[in-house]
Amino acid sequence: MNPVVSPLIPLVLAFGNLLAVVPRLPFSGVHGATIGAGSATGWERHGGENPAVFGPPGFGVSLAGYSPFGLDGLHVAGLGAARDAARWGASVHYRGLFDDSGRGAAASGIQFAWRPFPRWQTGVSAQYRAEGIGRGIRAAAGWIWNPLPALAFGGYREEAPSRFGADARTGIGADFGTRLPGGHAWRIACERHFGPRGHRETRWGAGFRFHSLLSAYAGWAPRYHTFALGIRFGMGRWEGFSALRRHAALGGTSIQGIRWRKKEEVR
Amino acid sequence: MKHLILFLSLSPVPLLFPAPATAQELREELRFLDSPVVTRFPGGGLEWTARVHCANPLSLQGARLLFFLDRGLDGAPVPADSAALSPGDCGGGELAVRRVLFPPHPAVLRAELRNAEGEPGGSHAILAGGGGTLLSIHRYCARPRDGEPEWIEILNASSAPVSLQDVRVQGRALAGRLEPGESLIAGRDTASLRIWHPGGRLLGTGTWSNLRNAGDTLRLALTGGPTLDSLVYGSGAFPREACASLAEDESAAAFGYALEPSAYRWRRGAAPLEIAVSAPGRGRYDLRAYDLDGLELCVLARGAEGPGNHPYPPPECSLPRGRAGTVLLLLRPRGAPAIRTAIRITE
Repeated sequence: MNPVVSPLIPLVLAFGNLLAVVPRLPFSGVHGATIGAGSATGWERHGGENPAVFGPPGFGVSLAGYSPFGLDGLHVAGLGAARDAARWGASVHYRGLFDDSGRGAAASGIQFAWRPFPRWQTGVSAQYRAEGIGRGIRAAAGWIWNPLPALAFGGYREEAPSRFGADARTGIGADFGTRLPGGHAWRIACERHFGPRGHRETRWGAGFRFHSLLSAYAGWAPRYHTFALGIRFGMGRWEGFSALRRHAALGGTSIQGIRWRKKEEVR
Repeated sequence: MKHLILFLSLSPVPLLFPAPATAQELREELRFLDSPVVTRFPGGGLEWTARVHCANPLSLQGARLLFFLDRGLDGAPVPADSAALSPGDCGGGELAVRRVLFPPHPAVLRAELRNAEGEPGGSHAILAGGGGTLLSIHRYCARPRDGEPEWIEILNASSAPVSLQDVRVQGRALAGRLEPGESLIAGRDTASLRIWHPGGRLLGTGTWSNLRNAGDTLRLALTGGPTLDSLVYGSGAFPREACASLAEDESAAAFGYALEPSAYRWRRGAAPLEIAVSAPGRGRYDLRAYDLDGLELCVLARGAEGPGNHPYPPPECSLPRGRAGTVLLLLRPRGAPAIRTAIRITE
């Protein structure tokens, strides 16, 4: 399936019977290239697991999608919209899994984050998931602490109703980075996620900003046998994201995304 | 006099002297009793033998058996041969007809009965020249990867233009016309085909029945008529399988491997799900299941040797995100390319 067309197809497919489970790894924005690394410390809001994320004042929308491992007839799409002020932010998001007949699974939710103290952010989210294993609401709470501009720590806890079984998840992470002369910057992230049945996973992520309009990202998730590379490019209010994930056994996945954001002046 | 006529009409005289058959009765009787038997000779000749129904031998009076050759499949056949049918040859309610024909070129040979008035009766059509001599299944792709769709390429193997209006591949109607030597690729839709065959002539059939990875029979036939070509493939390598997503030396099928679940949509509690693996006698492989994030869910086979059936899920396997969803099966043969497929599991 053409990776350019892939993100758009799910938008025109109807909701149908729910036979599957939405893929869990974040893929919107830079997460496509970091395989979700940086999610705990707020590298991206949409699709990330930590709800304590908000951006500079303004509002925006984002869209991303892919076909898992290039499988014919399967598509995943994510859509989000956000509104941010100086000390708070809110968003809605949607993520769906579709096949060519319109059947699949979906998860949609709302998120709210605020800054109660300087260098601290906290947030909550609620998500309604309709999947083959059941329907219900998941709730999450998170925090992010920036003791220094170059250092951040973050964590979250997500709870699910009993019909989903023991599917609560916890994550904690840290990232570190600095600015460089010439407007460049770099950042690395490491985080650990804990899931049901003793599930453990570590994610590594790195980013390098060449220019305000161009950045490169990489990610490694050993538990998923996956490595990824990608870029973020922008012009004006628009940003584009393109990433390639490579699974050691299952092959490659191309992820594409786009975002529009309008910034507001802080008075 | 009137009484005489009435007496005669009621008397058994009509039973002793049956009335001649009506034109309607003559038309209904002109039919073949079964399909013709065709024996082909080297050099292109063929012997055509059939039985014609003649419970009323008089129905054969003035009747003829006509042969037509339809080279272009365009409904404009050319007369090829004819034979007069004689009531005297009718015995036991049937007439055996035998003709030896030498069609000058590949075509559909249609045999048609016509009564004395020239009205058509039963007919039969066969392919004169053998399978694949008019239209052929030139190449196919039954085990694609990386998003390539399945497809079948149809080639005009004759020396004249052929219409595809009444031709079907795997039961799906074709359209258009092929010049001599020209081919087209048929699949579900042209958009996905064009990605893999940018310069080819494409035809989207709208619907498509998935070709089985472990083996299947491909058929190209006239609508309601004879098979024009057929191809049977198995789990091994076949020279006419030409998926663009597989280099000729990279196909797992070339090494004798195939992966076939008993169901691609499986409901727990239904019949057990079995994963059939085709492999050479000493071929070793691993078979694993993953979710859509790439997380390994369980190992169905590790270092297994030879063909076998593997139950899913194995007892030691647990699915951390519930027991339903899309599962990717990956067969990794030793020394051969991997095969993957997706199955949908529901509660």
